Amino acid sequence: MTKNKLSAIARATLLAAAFMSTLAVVPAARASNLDDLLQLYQQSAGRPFSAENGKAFWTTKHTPVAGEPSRSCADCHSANLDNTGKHIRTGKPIKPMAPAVNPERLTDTRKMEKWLLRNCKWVLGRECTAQEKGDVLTFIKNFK
Amino acid sequence: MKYRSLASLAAVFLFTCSVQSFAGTASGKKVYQSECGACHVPYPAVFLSTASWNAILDHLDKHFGDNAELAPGDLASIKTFLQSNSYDNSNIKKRYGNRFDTPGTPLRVSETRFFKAVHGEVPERLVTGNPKVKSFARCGACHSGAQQGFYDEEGVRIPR
Repeated sequence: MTKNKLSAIARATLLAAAFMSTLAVVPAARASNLDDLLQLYQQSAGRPFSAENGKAFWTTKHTPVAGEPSRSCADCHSANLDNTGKHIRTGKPIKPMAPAVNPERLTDTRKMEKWLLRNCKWVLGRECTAQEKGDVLTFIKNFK
Repeated sequence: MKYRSLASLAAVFLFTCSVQSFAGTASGKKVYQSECGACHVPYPAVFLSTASWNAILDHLDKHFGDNAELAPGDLASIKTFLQSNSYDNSNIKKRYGNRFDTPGTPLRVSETRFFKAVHGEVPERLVTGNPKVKSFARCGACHSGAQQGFYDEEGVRIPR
């Protein structure tokens, strides 16, 4: 085999390896359970998560749309997570958030991420920070 | 009589919907039912035109006053399912041409020509004036099979 041929093969191999590595990087880290998700959020949060702060966040009122009534998490979910909530707009009943009462809660990270995205945007008018999400999840997880 | 003919048309319409197979979008149907059906009755795809479904799906962050954003993958499969089974692609459209076409791009099933035709006899007080129903959007309040996609007249129970 000539030297040229060998270097061509080497180049092709390198290119292929580079390509494969980009593929490997593409799927973002995904959390498979609550603890993984909290760990993931913790990486971008400044402080350790606190159920206390999550509780305060839960009842804080926001006014995402000027002129419309303010909103908080508790408005629809109730401040007592053992209770069934009620959507302030649609009237739809919302099953209790407390995992002790409703074991389905905090079991599906896809669902958690989806609803945190939707509801933060609806209540705050923006996405929540990793700190806020972690605090709220910690509050819900430990609710008694 | 006008209403009787509409009622029989309704029966034909719904029968046609029910026998219509969902073309190649089995998983899209499942995602639609679980994602959209988590908050409201999964309105049958045939109830709206492709243009209406697109208009709804393109603005899920502002969905009738709520945020209903979906993961991109879920959105894509729901879109494919709703488009391929919409009113435009239904057997009823093939059979009746523009008989049930609704002008414009309504975002609500209750604004379509067909819906109005078959609910014309229902007085407002039984729906919007009825605390047990509240809105025409809550199909399941009267149509006992709505969650499963059945809207035949025998299944109707208006709560009092």
